[in-house]
Amino acid sequence: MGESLYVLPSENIGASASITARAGSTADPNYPVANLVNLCPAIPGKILQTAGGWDFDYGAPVALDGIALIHHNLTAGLDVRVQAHNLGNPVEEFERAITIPAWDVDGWSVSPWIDLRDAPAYRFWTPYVVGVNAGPVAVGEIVMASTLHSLPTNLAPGFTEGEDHAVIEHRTTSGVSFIYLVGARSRVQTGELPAVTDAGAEAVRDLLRDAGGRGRPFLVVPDPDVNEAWFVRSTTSRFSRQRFKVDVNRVPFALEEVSRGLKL
Amino acid sequence: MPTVSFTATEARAGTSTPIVYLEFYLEGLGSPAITTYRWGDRSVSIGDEPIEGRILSWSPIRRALSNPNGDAESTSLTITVDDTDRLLAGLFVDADDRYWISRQCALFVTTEDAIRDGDDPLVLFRGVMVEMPKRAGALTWQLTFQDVLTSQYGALFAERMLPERTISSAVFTDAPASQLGKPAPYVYGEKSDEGAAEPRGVVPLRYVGTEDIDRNPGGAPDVQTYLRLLVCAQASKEITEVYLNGSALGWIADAGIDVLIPDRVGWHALFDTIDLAAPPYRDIGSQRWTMVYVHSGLWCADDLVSGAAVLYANMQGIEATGDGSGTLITSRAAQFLWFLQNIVFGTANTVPLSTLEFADGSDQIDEASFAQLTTDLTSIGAQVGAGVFAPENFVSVRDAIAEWCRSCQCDLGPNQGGALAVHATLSSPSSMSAVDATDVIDGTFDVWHANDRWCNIAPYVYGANYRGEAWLSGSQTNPNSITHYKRTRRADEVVFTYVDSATVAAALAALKVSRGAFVPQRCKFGLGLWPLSLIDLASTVPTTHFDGLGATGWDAVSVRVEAIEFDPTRLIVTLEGTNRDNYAGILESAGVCDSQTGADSNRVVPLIALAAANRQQDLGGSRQVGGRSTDWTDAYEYRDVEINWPSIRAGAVVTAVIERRTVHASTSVTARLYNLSDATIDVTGAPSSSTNWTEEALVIPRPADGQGKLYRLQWQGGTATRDVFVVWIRLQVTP
Repeated sequence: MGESLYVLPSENIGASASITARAGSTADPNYPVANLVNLCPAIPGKILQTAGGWDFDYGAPVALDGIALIHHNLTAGLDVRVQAHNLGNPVEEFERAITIPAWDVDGWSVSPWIDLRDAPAYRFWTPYVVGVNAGPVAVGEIVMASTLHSLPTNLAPGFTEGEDHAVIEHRTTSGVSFIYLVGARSRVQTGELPAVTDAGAEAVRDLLRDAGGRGRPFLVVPDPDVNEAWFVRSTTSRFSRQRFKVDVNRVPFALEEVSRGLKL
Repeated sequence: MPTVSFTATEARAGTSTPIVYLEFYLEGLGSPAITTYRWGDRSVSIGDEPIEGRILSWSPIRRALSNPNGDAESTSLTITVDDTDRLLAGLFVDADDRYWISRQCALFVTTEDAIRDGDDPLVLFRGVMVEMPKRAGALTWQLTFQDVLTSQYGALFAERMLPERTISSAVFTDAPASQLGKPAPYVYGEKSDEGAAEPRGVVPLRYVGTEDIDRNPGGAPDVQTYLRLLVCAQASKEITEVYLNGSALGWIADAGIDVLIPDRVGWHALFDTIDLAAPPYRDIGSQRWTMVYVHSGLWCADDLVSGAAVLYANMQGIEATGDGSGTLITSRAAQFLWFLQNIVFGTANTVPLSTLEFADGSDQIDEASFAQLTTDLTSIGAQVGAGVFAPENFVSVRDAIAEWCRSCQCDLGPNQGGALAVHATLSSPSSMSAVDATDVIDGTFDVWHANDRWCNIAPYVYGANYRGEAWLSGSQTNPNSITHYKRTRRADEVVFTYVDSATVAAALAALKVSRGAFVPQRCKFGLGLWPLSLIDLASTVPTTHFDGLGATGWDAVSVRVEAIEFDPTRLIVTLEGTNRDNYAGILESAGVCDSQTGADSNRVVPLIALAAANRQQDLGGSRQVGGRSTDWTDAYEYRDVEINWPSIRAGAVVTAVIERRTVHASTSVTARLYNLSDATIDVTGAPSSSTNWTEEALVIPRPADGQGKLYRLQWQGGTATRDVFVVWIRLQVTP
C-alpha cells in the first residue's frame, strides 16, 4: 500500500466557498449548509430531499485534489457524483462518481473520498446524490482538499489501531449488568513513523503546526487503495521526533477520529 | 406520538442509547420572543431539531415529597456548559437577550431509536433560572435552575413573603399609619360562629381610611364620608353578618345606608341605584377588595377609627369566579390550589384560578392531583376547610405551603413533568418491582430507621381564632406504640390553620400519629432508567433485597417512593421511600363505616380516628335490651357496617371489638360477624358465661376477593330461657 494521504487543515477549503443547496434541493433549516464545513461531523448538513446536493461556489476556478464525505447516511452503492463547472447549473463540464462503500457491520457508514488530482480547476464544485437515498440526505462534513499530501513513510509495523464503543454499565449484586449504549464509536491509530528524513519529519511537524496541535481536525486517508477517509485530530498537541541519526528520524504519530456523534 | 419508554429488559440486553438533553427557553426583548436552545452532553443530529453537544457536566436531579411537617423540598439542576464559541458570553451582553433570571428550562431523556421514530421524550425536570450563570472555568459557565415552587421562595434564596398585596397608601390614601404596610388577608371557606349561642363574628375588619360616597345617587349629590373597614383582599361569597361587641349590624345595613355590607339593601342603594345589583366587592385601581362601610357619623365611628372597637364578620370567603357570584370553595384541597395559583404564582387581583403554564405550554400545577386530594379527604369526612391567610402577619412562601400541607395532611412535590402535585394516599403497587439480584445496582441499597419521624402523641390546634383568644386543641395518641416502646414521643404541635371542625382535626391528627407510631423504615436504592417510565412520586414499588429488615431480608416489601433522583451522567435512578407497612395514607385510614339503618344512615366514619382514639362508636347491640334464643340472632338495633377492604392496606388488622354478658352463669353468649355480602360467617367469638361485661376482639379476615363487604353483629344464647346481651363497641384498624 502507498503512504497514507493527509490534508493540511488550511488546505481544507470547503469553508471558503459559498455553499447553497443544489437546484431542486432544499437545505434543512435545522441543519444548514454551514454545518457541512464546521469541522464537526456530529453536526451535519441536511437537505429535505432524498436526492440532491450542494453547490460550492469559489467565485473563481480552483483545483481540488480530493473530496471526502465524512459521516453520512448514504446507502452503499448509491449513485453519488461530483460535478464541476464554471458557468453554473445545468451546464456540466466535469463529473466523477463517488463510490459509497458498504457500511460497517455495526451500522456505521464508511466515509468515501475521491481523488481529483487529475481534474482541472473549476469555480463550482457540486457533490450530489443522483439516486434515491433511504432518507433525506445528510452529510456530517465535506472536506474539499486543495492539496493531498503523502506521509513520508507509513507507520512502522506493530502500530496500534483501536476502536471503542462507549457504554455505561452497572451491575447488581448478582452480577447482572445493565448496559446503556452511548451511541458513539471512536477509533485511534497510534504508532511511529520510522526512518523519516528531516524533510519528512518537518512535514509532519508542519501538519501539527497547521492544525495547532489538537486544535483543528484534518483529513487522513490511511490507505490510498481503500475508499475510506478519516477525519482526525492528533492525540497530542506536542510534536516530537527522535533524531536517530543524520537525516533519519523517528516521529511518534497518533491520531484519533473526531467524534461523529450518533449514526445519521 | 407515544412517549419514549425504558424497560429493564432493554437495559439488561444493552440495546438502548439514552440521550439526555436540556431545552433552555431564553425569553428576550426582541424577536422571536423566545429562543429555544437545545443542549446535551453530545451532539445529536438525527431528529427534526438538533441537540447541540455543549453540556460538560450535569448535577443529579432529586425530586422529593414534602416532609412530615409539610416542608417542601427543592429540586435543582446545575449544568456546566461549554462556551468556547462564546455564544453565552455574547448573550450576556446582548441588549435583548441578557435577562436570564426567571427564564425556564426543561430536561428530557429519550433514546436514539425514539428520536428516529419521532416519539416524544420523557420530561425529567422543569425549572427556572434563579441567578445569572457563574463562570466555571475558562470559557465554561455554570447554570442553575430550581423547581417552579422553590424559585418562588425568592431570588438568591431570600425568603419571599406573602401576601404581596398590602394595605398601601396608593390604594387607601388616608389609611392610618398603623395599618400601612400590613398584609392583605384572604378568607377561605366559611368562617363563622353563627351557630354559637352568642355569635360575635370571627373575621376581624380593619379600618383602612375613608371614602366619600354619594348618599343620593341619581339625585342631588349628597357626598359624605364613610369609613372603609377591610374584610379581605378578594371578592367574597357572602358577608353573613357583621358584629360590633357582639351586636349584629346587619339590620342597619338592611334598613338604611349608614352601614354598607355587601349585597345588603344599603349597599345596592348606593352602589347600583338602578338595578340594585352592585357586585359584592370594590375595585380600587386593579385591585379587588371586600369591604364594609360605616358612615362617619355613626355612633361607633370614632371608636372604629381609634381602634377602641373592632368589627368582626361571619362570612364565606373565596368562590369560584372571583366576583362573588361563584360557588363557595369549601374543599381545603381546592383552597390550597387557589392559594398556589393566585397568591404564590399569581397576583390575586381580579381574576381567580389562573391557569399556569410553563414556556412549552405544559401545566405548572397538577390540578387533577388536587381534585383527587379533595376526593381522598372526603372519604374520611375531612375535606372542608376554612381559615384566614395572613390575618395579621406576613408568611414566607415556604411556611405558607407547609401550613397547607399540614392542614391537608398531604405530601407536595413536583411530578415528572415538573408540575406541582399533592398526594395523600398510597398507590397500589406499581407495575415494576425491584429485586436485588436482577434490578438493584450493587452497593446502592441502604435501609434505616427514621427515628426523626417517630411519634406516638400528636398534639394539635385548630379552629383558628383571630380575636386573640386561644385556638381549640386536642391530641391523638397511639397506645400500642407507647406500650411497646415504653416511652412517649410527642410530635411538634400540628397547627391546622385551615381546619375548624373538631372531627376533621382529630382525623387528620390520627393520620399523622398513625404514620409515625412505629418507627418508619426508610430505604433507598439505585436502578437503571426504567422507573422513569413506570412510576412517579408516591408510587409503591414492591422491593426484594437480602439487606432489607427481616430474618431473610425483604421479600416484595412495598416501598412508597418519596424521592426520585436521576443522575444524567451515570444513568442511574435512585428511589428513596418508606416501607409502607408503617405508613398510612388517607384511604388506608378511611375504611368506610356505612351505617345503613337509623338516623345515621350512610354516615362515614374514619376508622383510623377510631383506632387511634379508642373511641366508642354505636354500631349495634344494646346494654339494656337482651334476648333469649339458641338460634343466631341479629343484634338489637344492629347496624350493617361496610368495610371498604380495597382502601385498607395489606397487612393492616381490622378488629371488631364487642362486649357481652349473660344474666346468669347457667347460660352463655356467643357473638359472631355475619358477612352479608357473601352470606358467610367470617368470625365467631368464644362462648362466655360471665355475668359481667367482658370484651372480646374479633379479628375480621380480609376476604379472598379483596372487595368491600357488609357485616352484621349476631349472637347466640346457650339457653333460650335467660337473657344475654351483646354490644358492638368499635371497629378498629391496627396499622
